[in-house]
Amino acid sequence: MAIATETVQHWLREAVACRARNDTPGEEAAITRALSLDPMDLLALILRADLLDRQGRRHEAALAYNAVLAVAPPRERLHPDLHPAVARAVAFRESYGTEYAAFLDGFLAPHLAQHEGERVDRFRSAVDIMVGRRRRYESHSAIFHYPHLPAIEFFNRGDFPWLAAVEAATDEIREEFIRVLETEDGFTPYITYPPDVPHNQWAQLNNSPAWSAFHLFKMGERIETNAAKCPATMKVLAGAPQPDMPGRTPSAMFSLLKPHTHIPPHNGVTNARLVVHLPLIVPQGCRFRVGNETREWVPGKAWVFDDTVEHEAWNDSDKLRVVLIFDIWHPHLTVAERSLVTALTQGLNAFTGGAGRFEL
Amino acid sequence: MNRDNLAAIDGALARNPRDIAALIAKADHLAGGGALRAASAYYLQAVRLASALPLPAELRSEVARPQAACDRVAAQLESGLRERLSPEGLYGSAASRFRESLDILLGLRQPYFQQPQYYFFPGLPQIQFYDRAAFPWLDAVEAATPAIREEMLAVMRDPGALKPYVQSDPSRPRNAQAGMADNPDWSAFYLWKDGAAVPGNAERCPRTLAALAGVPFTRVPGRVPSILFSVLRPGAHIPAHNGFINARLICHLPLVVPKGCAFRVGNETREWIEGKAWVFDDTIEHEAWNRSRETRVVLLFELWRPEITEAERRLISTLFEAVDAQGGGRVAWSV
Repeated sequence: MAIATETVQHWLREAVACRARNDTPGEEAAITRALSLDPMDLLALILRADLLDRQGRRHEAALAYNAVLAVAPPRERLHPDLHPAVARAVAFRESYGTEYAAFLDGFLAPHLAQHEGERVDRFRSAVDIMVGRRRRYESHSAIFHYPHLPAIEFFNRGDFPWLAAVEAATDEIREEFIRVLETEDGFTPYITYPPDVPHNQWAQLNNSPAWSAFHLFKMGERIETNAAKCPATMKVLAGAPQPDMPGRTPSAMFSLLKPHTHIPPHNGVTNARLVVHLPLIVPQGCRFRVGNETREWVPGKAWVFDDTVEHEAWNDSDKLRVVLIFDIWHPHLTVAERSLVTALTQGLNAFTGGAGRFEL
Repeated sequence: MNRDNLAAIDGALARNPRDIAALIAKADHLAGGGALRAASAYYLQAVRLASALPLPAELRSEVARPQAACDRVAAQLESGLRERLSPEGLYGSAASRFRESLDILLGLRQPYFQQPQYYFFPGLPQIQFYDRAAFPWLDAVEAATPAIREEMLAVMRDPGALKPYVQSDPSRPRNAQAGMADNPDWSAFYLWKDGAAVPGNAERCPRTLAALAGVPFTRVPGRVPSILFSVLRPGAHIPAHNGFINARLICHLPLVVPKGCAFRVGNETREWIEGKAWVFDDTIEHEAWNRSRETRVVLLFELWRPEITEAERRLISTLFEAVDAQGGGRVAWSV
């Protein structure tokens, strides 16, 4: 046989001819020859996937259609004749994926039942990510990234034994907030960029009363006039491991989200600290998303989350939502590391002659 | 724009805070008045914006100057911070994670994250090379280095013993492992492969396997563990790549290491030292070089991540038994 006939096109024509005369072994052999010459040839991959599908070899067809999708260019660069084939590959992947996920759920159910009461939520998430029901989220610190820490969306509350005392004080804290609200004094917009600084997604909320705050600690400073009005809240904060980054943290505030306001997705400044929410006033129709997980605030039930994982918030109700927000050291930082982070912040301040901003 | 006209510059910035020429003019004005740190903030903003844009040639040369100004200020900041932090124990062993955070803050290193090709287990710390204190059984493995090396050298005298490290799978597109598949520069002798002893190979290395008795191997029937001598030919480069699943870690025990070999995981590059093992996360981007004229040989095996609990390990094994039970092709978890 002449070498000139050893082209992908030759074997593709051969495969199509075999198919026309229902010669399946011949078709399969021709496709294999074509792919041996060029394992990335899109048409050959499509012919193989279609053949496996016709033969009912579903698992092999799934791998073959995945190969089609891995190799296919974006739709705008794809030859229009191939659009139906790629659409077929997408549809196959979806139905196979659903079947695959359902099979695994059924298979794993008795195994998960054996671990009833144990912490296997990480494993559940891993399966969800594998079958495409969840995304992977990383910690993306806008300013100061602390390496080697796990990116956990909502932390397990067992890691924070002092939270119980915070929650127990909810009623007192709420009363202090309501007294403060009645005086309408001390509230500032949550986002306060100067007008000549680029503020991207914050344009709507910058200097806006729709998202405002009453600060007890701001950029590392205790706000004395406000703190004096909230002794019970200050006492609770004193029991939390507040981070010491002079000029930046601790922060603590009553955060007010006005009706029909959306805080767009964003990432925090540093994963050296975590953020605590103690919900005080929560109308129906408010939500909070961190990474994959969306939760509803429940008054008096605190949570701890990593604000360097993408997060956003909604108040779709007609009423005000109020949460006590404050920051704490990331619990995995050792005492030595915390004192180094404090020293680093002092060093940054000494260099710039001022303080930065680590807003929550 | 008149550079001396501060009002005009401020006006331009009020209209468009991203006006690069105005940012540079403002910085020049501040620098001229001696306010170098304030100037650097404007230079930095100009450099950041410029780096994201296709710029006309005349503005390109303008941006080189603020870049140099930023570099000077950054160097000043770095030396000031190191001076301030050294009495706090910056260079002690307790501060290695902090030192990396400082390098990332200063832009000297970039953070790397786990990017497994196949199975991602969430919520784990992102560690390139592990602290060896987490693996007390490493001492016994290292102590056996001479015996392991002897068995390896005996095996290597058989010219047919080695197989390419990554063998291509005809049912998969090849792009994911470009440059590695079927590459004789990187080859292996498997004692265990895909979860089972390799008949004819395992028997040839009894002391090696005995030395590994205390290792918490990942165990998934039909998949893991693998235990192998990894052979890198002179001049070979294993291109940057990510492993398949982050539920396991990889241990290297270097057996024969000529001068001029290097191994990078994420932002850290190390040299192998014969008899000194390390444990790393192969789902963080990594690559390897042998720039010498001799062959490099490492004993390589895989183990459970210490953070994964017994219950989770059992579930992961069950999961992949289920995946395999469903039929179809398997994604090989080559290490």
